[in-house]
Amino acid sequence: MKQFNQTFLPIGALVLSMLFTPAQAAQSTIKISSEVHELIQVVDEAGKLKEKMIAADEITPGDRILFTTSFKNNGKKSSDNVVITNPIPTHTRYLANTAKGEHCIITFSVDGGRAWGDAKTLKVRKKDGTFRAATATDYTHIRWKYNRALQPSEMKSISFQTKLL
Amino acid sequence: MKHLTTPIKLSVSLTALLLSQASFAGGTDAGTIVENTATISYSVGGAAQAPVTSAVADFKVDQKVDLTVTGNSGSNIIVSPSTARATTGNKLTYVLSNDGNSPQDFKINVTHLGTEDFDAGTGTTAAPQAPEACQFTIDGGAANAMTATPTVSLAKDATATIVVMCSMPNRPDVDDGHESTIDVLATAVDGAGAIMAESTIADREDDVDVVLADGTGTPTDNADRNAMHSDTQTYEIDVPMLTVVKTSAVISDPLNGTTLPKRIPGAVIEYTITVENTSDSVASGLTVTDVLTAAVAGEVQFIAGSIVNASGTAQTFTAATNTVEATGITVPAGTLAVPGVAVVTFQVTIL
Repeated sequence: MKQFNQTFLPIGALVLSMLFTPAQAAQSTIKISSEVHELIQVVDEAGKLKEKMIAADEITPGDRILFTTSFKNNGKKSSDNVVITNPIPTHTRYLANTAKGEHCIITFSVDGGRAWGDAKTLKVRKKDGTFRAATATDYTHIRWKYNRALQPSEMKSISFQTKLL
Repeated sequence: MKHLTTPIKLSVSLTALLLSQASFAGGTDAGTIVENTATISYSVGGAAQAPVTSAVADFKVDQKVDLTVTGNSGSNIIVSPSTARATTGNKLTYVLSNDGNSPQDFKINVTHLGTEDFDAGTGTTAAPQAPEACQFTIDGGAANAMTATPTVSLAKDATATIVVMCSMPNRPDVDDGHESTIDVLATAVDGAGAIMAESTIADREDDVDVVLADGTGTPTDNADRNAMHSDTQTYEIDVPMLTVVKTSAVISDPLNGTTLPKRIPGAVIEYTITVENTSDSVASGLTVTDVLTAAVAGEVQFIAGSIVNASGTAQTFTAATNTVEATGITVPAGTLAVPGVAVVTFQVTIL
């Protein structure tokens, strides 16, 4: 069971972008890992505004956070029907149109992962009983369905961005 | 072949969070740990495999220090000269808000801006209102002298109301339109009273670091991200500006009548007292008093009933003191170029 013991985490180069081996490493052929970074805006030499990925130190409300999930096939056979699910972390709000994944169909849930859809189909119940279209603020989970087979030794990653409330 | 598309979901993020307060304007509480865990399900050769969960990627929310001081009135506060500090209209109100994501102490500093026409609460004359130095209260508490710098503790998103009260000087220390500006500066301080400083070392994972996020107030706070903010408000004196001029003209004499009369014994002299108002306030309830020193000296005699007081309500001549008095006069508002005018006239005979 993962403990939240501060002294367990190394204070060094791996401060806040962590790459751990998954809990059930023994039997699975897919390795999945999560990373977190902060996205800041910088001005490049041409004077254009660009986004830069930096370590997630000194995160304060209003900051933009990038979560990246990588998955790799460590087995000898290809894997299919690969589906990755990310709950949107509490205290953050999903930023619309930032979920990315090559060859993935991305869907969202507003009810904790029971039903899945996208901006056109998801609905949220209002206090008076009627429904309104769901917005990025309502999403509780994001799901990536990888459309291809994941070949042996192949590694892919998906990502999404949130704003810290 | 059936494949498992619904991975096991672990609600690690909900059970392992140390602080799970909802976030409001100040944002997520400092010290909150935000986590992400991804789950993957897949199959090999058509056979569903056990879903795999990534380890937790997380970070701790650092402390954001932010504050604003806002003067509650968008325009100048209009005051009258010679008013006491306790006068209701002599209050300036400011609101300090804690916009950061943790409880914070703030030190309050109230000062006069040195560049204004006068300093409220001061004055060189003591009548009719003696100067009463400005004081301020925080959330209606005890009055503080302007030299005091009390500290107020605010929870996240809480506010404190600072009210400044001053007396206003007497005429002629101030004129219509003169301004006095008061600045309120709030500084975020730690438990020891030292100003909050941004953590300049690299992020410490186990500790909550400090990030300053305040903007620039005017004018005592002169920079962003210095743990300070300030705002000003201005008193403006509103008073009629009056001048009085007295002239005389000879109306008639016994020999020439009204044709080119001269000032010889028996001539009738008309005195004209003109009150001019160059301010934008109407002056009302004025009394013009004229002691006829020439009558006292036996040189002229007041002509009974000759007082004309068109802009006023009553007029009297007191023989015992040789005093003309015109009362209840209203002088309309005007400008420097076109003053409002009220005129009082009366006549005497040269003895």
